[in-house]
Amino acid sequence: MRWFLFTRVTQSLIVLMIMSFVIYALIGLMPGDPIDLMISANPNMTAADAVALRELFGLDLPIYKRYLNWLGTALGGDLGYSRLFGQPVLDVLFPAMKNTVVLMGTAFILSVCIAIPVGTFAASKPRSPIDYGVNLFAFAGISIPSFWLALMLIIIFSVFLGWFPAGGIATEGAPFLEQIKYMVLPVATITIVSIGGHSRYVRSSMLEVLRQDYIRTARAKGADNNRVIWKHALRNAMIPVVTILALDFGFLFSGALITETIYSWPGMGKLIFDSVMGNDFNLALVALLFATALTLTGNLLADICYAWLDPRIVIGGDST
Amino acid sequence: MINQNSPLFLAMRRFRRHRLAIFSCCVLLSMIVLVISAPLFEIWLGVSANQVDLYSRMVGSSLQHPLGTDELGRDVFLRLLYGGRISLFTGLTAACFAASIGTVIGLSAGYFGGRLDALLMRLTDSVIALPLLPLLIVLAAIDLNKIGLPEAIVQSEDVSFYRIVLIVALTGWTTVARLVRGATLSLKEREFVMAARGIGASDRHIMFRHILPNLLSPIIVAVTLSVGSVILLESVLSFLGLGIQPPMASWGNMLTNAQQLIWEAPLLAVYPGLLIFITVISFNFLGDGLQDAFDPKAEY
Amino acid sequence: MDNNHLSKTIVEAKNLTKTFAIKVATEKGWEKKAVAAVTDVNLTIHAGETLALVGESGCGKTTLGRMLALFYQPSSGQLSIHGNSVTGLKNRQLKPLRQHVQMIFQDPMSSLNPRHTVEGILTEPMKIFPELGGAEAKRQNTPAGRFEKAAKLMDAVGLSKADLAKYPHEFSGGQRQRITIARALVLNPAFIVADEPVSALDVSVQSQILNLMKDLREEFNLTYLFISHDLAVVHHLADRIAVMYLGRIVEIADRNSLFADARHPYTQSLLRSVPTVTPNKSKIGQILQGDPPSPINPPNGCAFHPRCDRATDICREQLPDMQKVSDTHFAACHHHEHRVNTDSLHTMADT
Ligand SMILES: Nc1ncnc2c1ncn2[C@@H]1O[C@H](COP(=O)(O)OP(=O)(O)OP(=O)(O)O)[C@@H](O)[C@H]1O
Ligand SMILES: [Mg+2]
Repeated sequence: MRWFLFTRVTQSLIVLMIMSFVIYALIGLMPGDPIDLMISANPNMTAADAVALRELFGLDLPIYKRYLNWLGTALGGDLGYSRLFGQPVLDVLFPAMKNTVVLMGTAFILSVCIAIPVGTFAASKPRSPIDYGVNLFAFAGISIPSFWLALMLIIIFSVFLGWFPAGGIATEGAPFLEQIKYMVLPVATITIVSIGGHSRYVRSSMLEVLRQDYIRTARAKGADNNRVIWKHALRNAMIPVVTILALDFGFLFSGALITETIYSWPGMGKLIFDSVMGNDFNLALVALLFATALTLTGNLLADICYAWLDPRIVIGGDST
Repeated sequence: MINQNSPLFLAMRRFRRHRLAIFSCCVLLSMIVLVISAPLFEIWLGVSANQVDLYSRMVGSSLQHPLGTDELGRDVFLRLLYGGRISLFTGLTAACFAASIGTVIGLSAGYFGGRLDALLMRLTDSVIALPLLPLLIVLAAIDLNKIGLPEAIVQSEDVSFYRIVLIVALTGWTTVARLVRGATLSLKEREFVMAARGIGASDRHIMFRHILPNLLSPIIVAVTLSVGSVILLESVLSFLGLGIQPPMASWGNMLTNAQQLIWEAPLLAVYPGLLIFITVISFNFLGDGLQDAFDPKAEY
Repeated sequence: MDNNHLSKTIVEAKNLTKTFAIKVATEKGWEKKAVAAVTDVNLTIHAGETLALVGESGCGKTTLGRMLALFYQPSSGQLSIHGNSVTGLKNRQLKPLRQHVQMIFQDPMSSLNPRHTVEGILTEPMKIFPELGGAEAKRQNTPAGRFEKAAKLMDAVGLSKADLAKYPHEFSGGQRQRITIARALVLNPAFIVADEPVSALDVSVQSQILNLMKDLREEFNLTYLFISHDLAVVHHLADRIAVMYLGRIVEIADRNSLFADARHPYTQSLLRSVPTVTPNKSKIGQILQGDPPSPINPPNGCAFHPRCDRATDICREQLPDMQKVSDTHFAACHHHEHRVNTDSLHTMADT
């Protein structure tokens, strides 16, 4: 187990290192460069100044040298300034991260809390209308464009009914109810999209458990069907569910991008989008790296959960 | 001539029992017929899809404009048809492209095994573990001049289409690669592979003539299922202004404009999204039906 | 069979050994071990004869057969096929030799590609070997010529030309095995390794296939290595019989002396387990008990001694050499002079 942990963590770190270079290189390929931006901001600059500046910032060096320079300062704790916000990158990043966690966490908990009873119920009555309903909803969830769903919710609840604001976030220190009001539509969007899939996971892992011998024996012995399902089977069915949810949680950080952008929710996803579109190189770079690191961690957690919870997996069996 | 007993034919017979999938298949076929005949509708309605008419902006439906017009007075119905062309074509092309990459990677990993397998599978795992959408946005925002593409290509009208196909293919191959590898691992233990080596077949011959045909059904299922997600991805990127560029219409970029007009003309936002939803869910139902039809347990 | 014919050797194996590296689960995790599937096998097969290879499950019959059919690279030892040494050759270098050796597999379902028609299966070897045969054969290697040859082979194995358009799943087990036999014949090989070709089939079909193989042997001048775990099956077909135990050949003899005068206690117990028509006939000694030892940790001395009621100290310490019983009969046993009357079984099987 220790060996497994070690290899998986190193592997994730290697991927993160590689991705930091890839992202650095990609950001360098985006339109415009920092010096051009300075020139356009300051009409007094001459072409000679630009060349001098380029040298000063090391922009004439080959890409890997520039990357190593950047890596050196970044590891030293200096992640640079955000051009759009005029603040150190981390000062911009952390509040955004907090907003994302609030949004995604709420949606996630909501979705899981609904999915577990619904999925279990569907599994206990296979081929019932509820079972078909869950299936249909799962298909709808993976098929619906979430940005369109968001637009539809805005049209219904903001444009026609006027119940909720069409976007934004409550100001700091606003009353609780006011804060909730801004959260309803984005949370609803994410929940609706993910709930079907979650229910289906619960349903199928539940069915798997119900097929197993000891459950069959308990049922055959005349134990109360509902008790068997809700007490014994559900606990065992949670093993695969937990891992899939852990996996999902990693993806949520990138999945939030669309919802946050449409509802102008100032989270990580919107930050990444805005910084890429606004040529804010420092911010885009760091935000992307954070998103990558978080997603990798989510995956790592899922793997570890799985190996830890499922005794059938012999760890390290596939290496070499 | 179709052999009535070929494995594919038998699968088709099982598929016919899957009503939802059949229905989806019909929906998709009529959709394809509709978008292909878009020029006929232009002639019939007497307007062209990109024809701007500032005197009749955002009008409701009428005989001349069945679904009304948009903020530039262009016919929404026709633009939906042309947008559908792009979305469907992008989806199919990118899904097939991604599947080809995935097949080659999965087949080599599964067939040759050992170090190559370990390397390719670590690569696949890593790509799967990345936050795709943010990275795709960066890829879509890259300045093509900076990677040294000739001006003629960068300026051409179709470049946004090729770019999106490439981006999606670069990231969408992982599912197929895993699937193909798994199936190859079990297929290569079957004795017909050894028999093929016994008659002197080369590795390439065995991979492409013996193993690949047996992978056809899982690949078809995977492609069908991934067309849906590709269309979704294309629409998101186009919606964010990073995919198909106007004036070329796609369902995604039609929604970009609609979002800005959401207070004045909310209906404009309904149609393109509804079409995306119907198309994607149809592909998913179809893939699900094919999966059941190709179930290896029912193969013989 | 005339001696002149026998003089040509098709297969010559010297000290042939195959070990597999495997991982075994232990309390401390995975451990790498070597399985000695085949150890120090010396074997000569002459043109036109049928050598049967028998032994219990796991003794290495398939592994030996696959080495001779050029599927496994020997770990050590020498092997020559048709006069060509094949030791250390790469897959590509083996290709020209493959036309001489073909294999018939145990499971006819798994050995036919479900996506290919029978025509595709039977014409494929000719497409891979376009240069095969004389000028005449080359000229006939066209789509029509290949179809013609496939049709001829279908006829030879008792199927019809019309079946060429069908897929494997449309045939019964016995018919599928006929197809794999036809495929093995396409390249006009001299030597065919048949790995338990009938053990996956219904008993009623088994003898049909065995008779077919017998007929084809005459028609196409074939040499067989016929693998089986069942001495009764082998009796129909074999000229000579080799008995394997835990990766080694422990006794090899012409059919009659093996059935009449087996010298190795393992062979003797195998013979006793052959079902007889007259069950009351006195059986000397016991039918084999216990499981064979593991090829991962073979016992010292003679590998059979833990199960042998005749074992003495020397058996526990020293590996027995092949001892000559007669010109055509060898046994690897320290006590090979010890004779047991198994003749009754032989007369039974002969009738
Ligand atoms: N590819 C392989 N990798 C590892 N071990 C193997 C491999 N093939 C065979 N073995 C081992 O080698 C030994 C001999 O196997 P082999 O298949 O040759 O026996 P067999 O006599 O054909 O048995 P059976 O009658 O069951 O077919 C067995 O212990 C088996 O586990
Ligand atoms: Mg075997």
